[in-house]
Amino acid sequence: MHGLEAPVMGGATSRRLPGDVNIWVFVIGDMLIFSAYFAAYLFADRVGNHELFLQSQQYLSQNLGFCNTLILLTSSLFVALGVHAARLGDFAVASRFLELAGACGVVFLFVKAYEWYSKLVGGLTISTNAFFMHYYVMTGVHVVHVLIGLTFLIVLWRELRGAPTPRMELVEAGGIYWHMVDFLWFLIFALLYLMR
Amino acid sequence: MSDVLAAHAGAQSANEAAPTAKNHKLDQWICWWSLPIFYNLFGFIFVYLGKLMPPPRPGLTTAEIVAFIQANASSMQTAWVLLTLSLGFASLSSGLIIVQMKRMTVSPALPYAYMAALAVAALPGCLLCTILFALAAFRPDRDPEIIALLYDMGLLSFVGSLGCFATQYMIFAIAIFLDKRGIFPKWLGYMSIWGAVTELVAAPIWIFKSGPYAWDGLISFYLGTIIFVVWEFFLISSLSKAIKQQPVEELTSPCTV
Amino acid sequence: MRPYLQHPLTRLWLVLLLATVLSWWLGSDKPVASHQAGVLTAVSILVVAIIKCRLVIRNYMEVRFAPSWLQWTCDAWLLLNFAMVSSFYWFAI
Repeated sequence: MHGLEAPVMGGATSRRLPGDVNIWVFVIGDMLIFSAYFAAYLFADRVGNHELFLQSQQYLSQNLGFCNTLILLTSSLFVALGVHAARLGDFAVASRFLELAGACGVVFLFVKAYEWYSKLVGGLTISTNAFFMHYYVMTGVHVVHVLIGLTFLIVLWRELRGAPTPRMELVEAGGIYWHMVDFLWFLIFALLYLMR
Repeated sequence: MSDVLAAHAGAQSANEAAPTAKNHKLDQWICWWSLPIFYNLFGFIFVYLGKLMPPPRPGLTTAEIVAFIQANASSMQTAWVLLTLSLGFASLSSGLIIVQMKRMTVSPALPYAYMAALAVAALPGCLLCTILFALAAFRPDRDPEIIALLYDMGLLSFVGSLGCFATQYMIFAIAIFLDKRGIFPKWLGYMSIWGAVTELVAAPIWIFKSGPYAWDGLISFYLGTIIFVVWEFFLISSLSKAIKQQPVEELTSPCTV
Repeated sequence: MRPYLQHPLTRLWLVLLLATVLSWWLGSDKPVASHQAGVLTAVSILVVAIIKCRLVIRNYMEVRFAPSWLQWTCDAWLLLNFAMVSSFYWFAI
């Protein structure tokens, strides 16, 4: 992707760890943990249950899933722009971007709540069948991650507004976590909603 | 040549100072040793003697539960006696963690909350289940329904105390993140968040009798245990580092052995 | 705010958006020619998702400027997930 180097890094081309080691321990570990969830889902699906899974998937609203994907990837853009603005010293704009990202996150939660509600009202609970067990647990764990991400964003927002010189590693770390929440959702959306 | 001698003399006096520093922290080291000892013992008890890790699959019939206990009666009896004797060790490590947490730049409310959360969690999570399992193992003549009930209650209290443990993890994580002195590394705080989320994901075990979210499931049990073991390992090594790095001047009541 | 909207990161957002629309279209209910075609559709949705993940990782998370160990780790994870999911789809039905 040409044009992304210089503007993003302010001209630096040497290798640099974004954020700090701590957040990467967290993020990489979380990525592996989610892979375990995916593996559990695949194993349950493929071991003789595929018909059931296919039928159950029909009940999922791809449209709601699509909306949520758009919401999250837009929030990721805001976070990335916010980090970039902070790096340029534009802290007011940066915190504005984080507010927008946080708003997206909250909208995501509302859409998710509505999605769950409409399933529950239709009698599809966590113990309905194996597919819905995985659906509720995976999306549930993801929601917990969104909540943690929102907490992180609030911490970043306070840092950008309060501190005389906001710590860039913290801002980057929060951004990195939020992007992880976003791309994990890409995979959940593909696996649960789209791939049949 | 003279600076080599001077350096050697300097090193010698440093070595002479070192034993005293180590003795000043002897009490903390005693507490620290309780961790590897207790947790290895705990593992040995639950895995080999008690046969509860991994737990037998949920949904066993009464007859199967009774048969399981009878088949392992003697090792189970040993397990629970050992555990009732050694359970108190956990308090040594709690004391140590709290002392190190008090060094952080956070209100003492956090270490006290940690202690309270763990004390509450240990009651159902360890002591109660020990009593229930011991009762099931030592009274084979009881009505099978009662034995099955004791077994169920034991396992569910062992896993079901997850809320308190999740709280404990979160308190620990918050303290680490707020601490400006870096007593514990930040990544340990992040691992504690994994621990908290793992406890939350264990909640479905109340519902599922099979599959990855049952109490013997791939996610609820195996992944959860792996995360716990990893966290405990890094907690123990981080505590060791924290004790070593603690300046002697900071000790409020240095051990004077 | 205007200069930010013309930023390359925003162009990337558009790409991600279009990719999402593409996968949404692929995943929508369409008559499937054969079993193989169904699996192929599923795997192509997966590929699009993995590409989206990689774009976010390398550009939003700035991993493309990170030390090689991190780049390799992230790519390895993507590969692991791709291999795991696609092999289940290819072999296990």
